[in-house]
Amino acid sequence: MRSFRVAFSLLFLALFSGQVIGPSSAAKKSQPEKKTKAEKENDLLDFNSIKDILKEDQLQKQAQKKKSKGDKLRKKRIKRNVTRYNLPKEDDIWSFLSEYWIVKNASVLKWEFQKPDYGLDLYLNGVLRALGLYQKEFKILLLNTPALAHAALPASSGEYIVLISVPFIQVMDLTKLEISILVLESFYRSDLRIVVKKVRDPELSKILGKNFYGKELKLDAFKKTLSNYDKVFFNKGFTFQEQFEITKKIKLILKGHPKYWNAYLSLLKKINTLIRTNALYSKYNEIYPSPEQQIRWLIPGVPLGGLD
Amino acid sequence: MIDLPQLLIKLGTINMVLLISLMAPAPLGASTLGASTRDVASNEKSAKLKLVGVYYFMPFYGHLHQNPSRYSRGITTLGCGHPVKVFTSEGRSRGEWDIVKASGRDGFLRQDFLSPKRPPCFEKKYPIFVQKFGLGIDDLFFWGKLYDNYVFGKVKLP
Repeated sequence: MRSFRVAFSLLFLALFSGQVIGPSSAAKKSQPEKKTKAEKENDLLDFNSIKDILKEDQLQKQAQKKKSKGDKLRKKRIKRNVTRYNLPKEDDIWSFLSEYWIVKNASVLKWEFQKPDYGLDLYLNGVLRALGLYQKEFKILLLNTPALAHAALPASSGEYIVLISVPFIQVMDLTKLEISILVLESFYRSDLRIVVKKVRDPELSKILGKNFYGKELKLDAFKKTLSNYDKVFFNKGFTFQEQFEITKKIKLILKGHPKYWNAYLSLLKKINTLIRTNALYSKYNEIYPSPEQQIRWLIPGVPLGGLD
Repeated sequence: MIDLPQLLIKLGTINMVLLISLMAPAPLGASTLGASTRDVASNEKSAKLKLVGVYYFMPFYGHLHQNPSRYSRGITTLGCGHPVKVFTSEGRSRGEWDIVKASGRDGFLRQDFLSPKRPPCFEKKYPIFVQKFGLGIDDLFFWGKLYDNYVFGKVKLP
């Protein structure tokens, strides 16, 4: 009995000892391996890195979008700033220069004075319509001086700037029709670009329409052009060839309209008489040569004495 | 006894004086012009005004006038693109001259100087060029006067 008890105790101990001391190797093999801390961390890291990549991807796209938008706005701003340094184009500069010249010569041209409404705009409108000349926009400036009888200043396309002296009109007692024909002559002088070719400085064509961002702007070409206005309208004037071109053009336009043709002839005769009899207009021939010759071009074969 | 020749001379002289006073035109001085336009201006201003809309000044430079006359005093100088409020008197349509408010000041501007849309302005197109050109205050003043003195015309297609 005693040996049985000892044996049983030993057996009992053998069976349960493993639990107290530790599992057996078999028990160890059957259970799954637990991950080490490092492995666990690795797993966690991998997941996070995928998440980060995903997160970063979305943010990066947003960041790129914002950056490209910012770049576009910056480029637009720079471009807008650069365009502020544009020089006027050929078509834009002439009205500006002509009006600047008129403003600077206000005391010489004497255009600022009170005058009655002659109704010139309406009458001229009618004449131009009768001749079939549409889409014309004009600015006529009346001068209170005989210093400049009449002039067609360079202007932007489709626009005309014409100066006419009131004393010049009054001394010859010109009719509205004759004044309109004189203005028409100025329009064609402008259309044929005769004045532009005479006043333009050669350097001006090289700079018009360009951009001077980051460079120094030299106004010499503009100043020389403006001084040429003085030369042409107060000193040098026009050539016979240029006058012939104008007369030929007017002759062509007015040939079908006897009333206007006669008015043009009458105008030239009046001017011819004026310059021969009035000392104030003796220089007229130097600027617009010569009314006498113009009459001959209109009516070839007219003898010298038969003009009055 | 009546001295006939002397009487005839006296009558003739009186007649001549009457004839001259009837024929002589009223002086077109600024005071006469100013008085009539002042009446119009004060009438216009005292009448109820109706806002037509915001318009934009078209010429390079111009003057806001005290009265609806190109020769009336200039209140201020306006540049191209300057916005102005246009008014009409109640019951009246716009005429040759508009009643306007510009830069907080009331005055008159020609209707054909105003556009409902912002116009293409030379100074806006080439700002640095105009700045470098160096226009003085007197240049701007005379430029405004220039547009008061022009006779404008346009021949449109029929």
